[in-house]
Amino acid sequence: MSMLADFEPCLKCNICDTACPVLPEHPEFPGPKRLGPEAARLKLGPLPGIEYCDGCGLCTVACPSEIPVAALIARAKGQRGPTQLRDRLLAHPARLGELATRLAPLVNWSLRLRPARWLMDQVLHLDARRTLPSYSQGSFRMRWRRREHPAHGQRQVAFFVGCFGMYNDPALSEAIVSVLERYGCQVEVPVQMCCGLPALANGDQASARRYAQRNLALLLPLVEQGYHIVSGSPSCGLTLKADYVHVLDLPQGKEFGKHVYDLGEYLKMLSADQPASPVVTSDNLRVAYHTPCHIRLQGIGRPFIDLLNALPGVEVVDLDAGCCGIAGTYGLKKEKYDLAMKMGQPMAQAIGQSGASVVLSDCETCRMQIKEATGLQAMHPVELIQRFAGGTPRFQAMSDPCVKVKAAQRTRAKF
Amino acid sequence: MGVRPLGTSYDLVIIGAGLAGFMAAAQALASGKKVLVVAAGQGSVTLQHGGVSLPRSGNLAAFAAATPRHPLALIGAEQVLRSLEHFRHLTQAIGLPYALDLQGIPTLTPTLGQRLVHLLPPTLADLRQTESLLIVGWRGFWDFLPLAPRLSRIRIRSRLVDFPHPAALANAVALGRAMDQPAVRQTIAQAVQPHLAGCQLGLFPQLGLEDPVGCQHHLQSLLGCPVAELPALPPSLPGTRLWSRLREHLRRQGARFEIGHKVVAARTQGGRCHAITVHGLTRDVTYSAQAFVLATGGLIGGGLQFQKGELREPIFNLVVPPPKDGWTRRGFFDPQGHPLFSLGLVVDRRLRPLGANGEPLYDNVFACGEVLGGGTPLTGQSAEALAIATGEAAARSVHAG
Repeated sequence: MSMLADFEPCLKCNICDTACPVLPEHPEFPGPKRLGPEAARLKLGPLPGIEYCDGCGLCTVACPSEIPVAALIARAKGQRGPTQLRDRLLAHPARLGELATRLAPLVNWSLRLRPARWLMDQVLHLDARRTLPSYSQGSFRMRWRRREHPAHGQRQVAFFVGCFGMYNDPALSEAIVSVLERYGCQVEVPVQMCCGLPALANGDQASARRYAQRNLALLLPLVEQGYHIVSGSPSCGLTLKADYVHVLDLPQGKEFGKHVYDLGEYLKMLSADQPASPVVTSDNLRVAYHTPCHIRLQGIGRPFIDLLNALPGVEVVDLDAGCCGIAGTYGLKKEKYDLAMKMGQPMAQAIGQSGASVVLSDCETCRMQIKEATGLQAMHPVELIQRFAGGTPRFQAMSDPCVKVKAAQRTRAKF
Repeated sequence: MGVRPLGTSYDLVIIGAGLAGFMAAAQALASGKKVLVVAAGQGSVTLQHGGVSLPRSGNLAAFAAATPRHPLALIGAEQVLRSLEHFRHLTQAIGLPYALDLQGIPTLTPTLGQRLVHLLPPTLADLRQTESLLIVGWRGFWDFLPLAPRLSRIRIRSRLVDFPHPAALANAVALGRAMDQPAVRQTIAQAVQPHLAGCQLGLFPQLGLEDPVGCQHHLQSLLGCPVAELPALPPSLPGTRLWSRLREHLRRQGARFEIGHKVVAARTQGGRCHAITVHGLTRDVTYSAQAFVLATGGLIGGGLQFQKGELREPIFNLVVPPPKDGWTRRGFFDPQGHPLFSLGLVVDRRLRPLGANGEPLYDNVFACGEVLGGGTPLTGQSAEALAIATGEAAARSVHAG
């Protein structure tokens, strides 16, 4: 196999095209077969319409010949370069986050202000209808510095926070740390950059490569010391595991990727060794779980379904409704908002039919899309696990997740 | 309070998400088993045009007499017919009610050849009652060209017609989506009506994606004559619908699916398999179960691999005995097909792969579908029947033991 280019096994069977969530809703889209293996084989570069690929990777999942269709498209997309100011901004969530967390009240106020949104819609082509995530006052790093750390643990974990966990939802990052510590991990939050996926998705391969090189330089020494890199965001995790080597051709990425774990994957591994006994229980709590596409791409099963099923009194409804449509920054864009909402319809219907009182998904933008499509505030599954693990967060400000858990309590759940 | 174990142990793990794996899953679910389906990708059902035909035009007794080692002969005609009947029930449950006729139903293939099938999807043409038909092609839809095939007895005309929404002609998926819209169907009916000129049947390349039967009935009422669909080049919409609806049906019955990554190895000990290993992106994942069904396909599907002059099943590392007179024949389209493609695992009546000594290698591993060989992909027509019958038989064998 190593002698062949990765597109060679393509039989042009078109199975990828049947799995693509964009194609049925947007007929002008050339489809994954044409944009990926076909363009690679014929050296066509980025074809017109490639910007409509949402990067979900369901084409790669469906391919029976194991062709990394989505990675081929991502490579071609990266050659294109960002085409407008908006994409240049969206490519750097950490830069936006550093600024916005310092001015959080002002930024959050203006993100909800109609004239400001109208201006963003007109000038930046960010759809005014989309509810954008608010920024926290101060980043997760600031809270981390104030925190007392356990002196040692059975396992050394370097927590890859991700930009959303760093700037938008530090409380979630705190919940992740406390669950990891409960499992006996000694958690470090090393200096880290954005994983680089937003830059890749917005056509800026040069920036993505800089982020990747910097992250490798920062995190590889930790890996050599025996640290496991754990990511709570499926998309950051996938990028660290695979894109550094498959899309950005960074040879060090291969060894690095072997030490990266998705949070659910890691917790499942830990709980196989040492089951954590829940200290609270619930009575028939039905939760709906939406699988992020970037979990499917990792080939780790759906570990959070197993972890949630192990919680006493919890019944998990596996929504299994394909791509939610938002796909990172894709569904924020004006020309793609309607398309993203159409793509999310099957998921929204499945949530409606699930009869669940809590909706869970481990991807931050999937959770945004769930809110947008159904009005329901979704949680990260680790937040529920944390509640069952004792519910007294080590950190003070568990503002947002607590509100979400209260919604669950209304449905006879005894926490 | 106790901790529930992590849900990674199953009654039955099925490897492969094609027709064989799905039939095995349906059978196992019906008997209350906890089922996991693991597959490298979406099954090749997506590529098939949906019809199912039996070998020897359905004369199973003559077929079994001529090829007693063939998997369909091994499991017996009674099981074959029972599984076809169950498949028909399944298609009713998923809203795609197939017609079953052991005499055979003549229909058309994507290349407009005639084919005799024994199970016919509701949207495909039944040519038995037809004397005249119109084949419609959409101008600019490159995946289908409406040539008029020569069929005895039937008067055929073909026309290229402008499709009211040219953007949807990019591929079959977009076309199917457009056909789902009643407004599009109305404009189509207006465009096709003048060409119909008293024909008994209108044939369209690919009907709707979501509700093909509704689409068919709507067009029939608009045109005042029967309407059927022609599958085009892959992706075949009849196959795509069958796959996605069967999967959803099985999921609702309780099956879990983990699709996208290849099963690479089996953990065996003392004549039993305990677990299988999936090759994830950066590390392997194992799934354990009481029993395993191997439904990974043949040489083309990847269930068998040709390596270093040997035909091997890669997960359990089984060797397929070589043919007596060479792997291939001289002509590519040799009417007898190439031995390479029709070879497969040697199994007992319960479909357990046999070792060199003729004894089953594992007590709890059952094989079905094209990994068994017996099909002739380039010339033969019974791959789907093989999958349906042996898939169900494999799952039956699990609880027979």
